[in-house]
Amino acid sequence: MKTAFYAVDRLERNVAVLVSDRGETIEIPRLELPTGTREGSVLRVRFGAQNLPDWSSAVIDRDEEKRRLKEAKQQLDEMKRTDPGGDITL
Amino acid sequence: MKYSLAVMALLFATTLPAQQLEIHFLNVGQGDAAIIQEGRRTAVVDAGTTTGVGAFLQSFGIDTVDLLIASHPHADHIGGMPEVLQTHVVRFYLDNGVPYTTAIYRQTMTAIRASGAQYLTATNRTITLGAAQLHIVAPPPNTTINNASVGILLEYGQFRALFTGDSEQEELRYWLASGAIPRVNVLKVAHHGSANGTSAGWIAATKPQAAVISVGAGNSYGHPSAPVIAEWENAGARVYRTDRDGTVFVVANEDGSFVITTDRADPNGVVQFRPFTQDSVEPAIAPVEATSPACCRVCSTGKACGNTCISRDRQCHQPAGCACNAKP
Repeated sequence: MKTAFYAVDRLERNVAVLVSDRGETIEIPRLELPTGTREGSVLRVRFGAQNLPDWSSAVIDRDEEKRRLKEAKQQLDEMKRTDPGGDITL
Repeated sequence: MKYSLAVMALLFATTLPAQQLEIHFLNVGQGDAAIIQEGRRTAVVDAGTTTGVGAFLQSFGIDTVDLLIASHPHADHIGGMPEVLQTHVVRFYLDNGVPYTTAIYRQTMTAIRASGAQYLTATNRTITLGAAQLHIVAPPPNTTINNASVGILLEYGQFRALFTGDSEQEELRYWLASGAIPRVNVLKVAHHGSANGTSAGWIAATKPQAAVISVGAGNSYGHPSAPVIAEWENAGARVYRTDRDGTVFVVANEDGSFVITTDRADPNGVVQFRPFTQDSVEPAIAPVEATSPACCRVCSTGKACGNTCISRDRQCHQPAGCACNAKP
């Protein structure tokens, strides 16, 4: 069974905006997502018969979320170390 | 008599030196993107949801972005970052330093590293862009993504504009308490005009003459909020919306005066704003409507192209706008 990750980009009122790992954005009703979903959550979702995401199968994958945040933080920390600091004149 | 004075004032404005500050609030659908130009220097604040900002930059003849700022890592603000980073020389990149989990964020990080842009953190610092200063207003620590938006107070002589990403009440309160927020001439309304991006205290502190809402038509989120628009208008601000007005184009002078025109305005639709006195407690001065064709930008060294000036050796791909060539 095909599965894929979708990260929750943002929650706007009753709408959740998700981003697939290919960078596509999808809007779905917030109520269709698992309880506890918040911005930044990573969802593992099965694909249904028509090769579409079956949102009822979505589960929050906290390990994948932590892995992504750790990787992003490492990259950010490396870049922050190069910041010359103070005011800048362009 | 009043008509004559208004026309004289406009004529006077059109003879001002060509050195002016330009801000383009781009119509990028549901998202934020703005281009700031002072002389030959360019800053870009946010890049919309998808590609498109790169094409705007190319149409303005800009191949180098001196400073690229991501207010926060939501896709409707950084979606177009990879394209800008891959198609333009980007000298400096600044964001709020908050890691995120989406593929769009990861693609942006990869593009930053590949571009060689110098990374800057969003501390309270001043970045000088020609004769303009961008004062970075740091977000509060340990908060939600929207409330971690980078604030940018743009100053050009007496003219001020404020960019606040998708700030919500918590961040607006934090900034108000910091005392870092003065009255401004132009404000980008936070969070696409959402009800959680405006407060009475915020309106009283910023009291802009023009409030710009960057928003997409028919969005699913109810942006912008009708009561929010009414609140800004009741405070004396002229409200512009990119979904209805298209790209909103501001040309500012160092004395604090500025003009605004939009993609969808008729050729006479240039609105001129007078400077406000910094310490005045008077209400915002009502804008003077242009009653005859006026130039928002006089091109002396370059040539007119749409609403801006470009180098004489470049080909213009813009439709007729409000920029004029200087008289020989």
